[in-house]
Amino acid sequence: MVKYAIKRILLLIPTLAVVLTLVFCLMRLVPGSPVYAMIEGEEYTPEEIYQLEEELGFHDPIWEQYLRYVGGILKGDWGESYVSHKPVMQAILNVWEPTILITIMATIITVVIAIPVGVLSATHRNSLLDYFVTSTSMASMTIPTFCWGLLLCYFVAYKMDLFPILGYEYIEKNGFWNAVYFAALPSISLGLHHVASLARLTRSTMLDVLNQDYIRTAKAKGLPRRKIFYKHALKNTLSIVATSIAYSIASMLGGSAVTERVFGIRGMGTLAVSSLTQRDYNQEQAIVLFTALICLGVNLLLDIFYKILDPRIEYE
Amino acid sequence: MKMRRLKPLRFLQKYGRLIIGGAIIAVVLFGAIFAPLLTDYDPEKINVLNVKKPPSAEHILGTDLYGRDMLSRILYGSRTTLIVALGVQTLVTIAGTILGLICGYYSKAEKFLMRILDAFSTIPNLLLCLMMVSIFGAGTINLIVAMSISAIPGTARMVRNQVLSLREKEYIESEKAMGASDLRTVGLHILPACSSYLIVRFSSGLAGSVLSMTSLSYLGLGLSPLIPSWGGMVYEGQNFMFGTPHLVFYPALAICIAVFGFSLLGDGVRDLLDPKLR
Repeated sequence: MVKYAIKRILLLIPTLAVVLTLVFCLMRLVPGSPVYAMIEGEEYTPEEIYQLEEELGFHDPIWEQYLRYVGGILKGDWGESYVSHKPVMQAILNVWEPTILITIMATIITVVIAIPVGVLSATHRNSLLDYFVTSTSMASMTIPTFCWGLLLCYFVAYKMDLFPILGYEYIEKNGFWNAVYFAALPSISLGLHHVASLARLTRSTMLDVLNQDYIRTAKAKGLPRRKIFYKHALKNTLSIVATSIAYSIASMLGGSAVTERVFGIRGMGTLAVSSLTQRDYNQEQAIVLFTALICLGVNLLLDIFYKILDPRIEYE
Repeated sequence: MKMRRLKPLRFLQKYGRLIIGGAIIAVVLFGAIFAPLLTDYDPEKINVLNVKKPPSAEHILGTDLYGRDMLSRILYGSRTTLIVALGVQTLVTIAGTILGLICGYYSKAEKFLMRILDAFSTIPNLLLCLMMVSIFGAGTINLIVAMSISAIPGTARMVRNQVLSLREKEYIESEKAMGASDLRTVGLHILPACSSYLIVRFSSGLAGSVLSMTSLSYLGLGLSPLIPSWGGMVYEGQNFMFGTPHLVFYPALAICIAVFGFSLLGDGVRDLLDPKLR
């Protein structure tokens, strides 16, 4: 087990190197010099712009820039924002709390609702429950996250006055549960879409697993239904569903910009969009890299979980 | 050969989704193609005297916060949505197939390409789109390219897995033993065998494309703000949602209808071509 985990972590290094290089290359493809973001609204002569670019090292050979960039990231110095002139990492750490909290809560909501519902509708196939689950999940998947957000905002927050309509209060300010209260509606709206798709996946995987030979053997042996479902079938279903959870978490993190915009929260997604519109590429690069790192971490954890569920798995 | 006739209920179970989904999409397509005939209003004409009017006989769906006719904006918005969704899926299918074939066939190229594709898939979809939009700039074609790049790895991986499993098959091996070129094997056997998977992926990807396209336009990215887009309309109306809900409701409804139609269509196609996946 430990050996597997170590091997898995070591294999992360080449992936990380490729991600780093990819982000670097993509950012160099962006047209226009980042210097223009810095001097927005001020008068500069072309010579001065050239001077500024020279100082920032944009005229160095590309491999030198690359080495400097990788070295900086390894040392924990991710560079400065072109607009605010503060370290980009600090800007991320200032706003990451709502994004991470909303993502974690949405993941919990997704897993807690989707897996039992999917399993139940598979074990009670073609029952009324099954039809209800398949049709509601279909309907719920067709509604985009921001429409869910606006619907919840209108009915739950505005009409019923149960939750705040806008904004987020940091844990520091009023405690953890107050932050959860503010993050509740955004997490639900972010989660609902994924609940539907995960429930559908759980259902179809479970149905697939229930058709396998070993389940038939277990039935023939006379094992009780409950034991077959929850010990043999569920375990094998979960190991497949785990991959999809990793994907959901990544897409929730990436899609945080949308939820944050609906609820007027300043989080990592909003920062990504604003740094894009301000052409603050250093900041944007840092956010993309940071999010990719979190996703890789989540993948790693889920892979290890996968291995616990299914010890036959070998990572190639 | 005599066709087996299905009982009405079985028929509905088998083809119901395909028919309903197809019908919904046909209506959306009709609206997009004949938009100029269906409405007399210019979707971009601003009328400051007629702002945020609720639905009436004159403006069936009301007017938006610049006095533009909502119906005509929704109809013209469906054009961009459909063009982008279809364009993205076409590009993804073509590029994904080519990359997948290369990966499946040449093990040397595979290691390199799969690593890059893996790296692409570690960056979340929407963030990758954001980066791509900043590289390519705004515009319909650029948006199509930007959105495709994040979806290509999935298709490429699927084609590659297909190729790898097909290459083990005896008929492919014997074809090879007889001296067939790789191109011949690919064209005659591998592509036809992949095609049903590709069609299923194409049709079920459409709903996802509409969703991410509307998310991007909701964020105000990828398209010029002047071009009517459903996501952009929702965003514009959002601040006035509590007083005049129709500003948000109708474009949101249009999105849901289109996504619903495409998902039904995708499910229908999948059930028809690949009963195993149910």
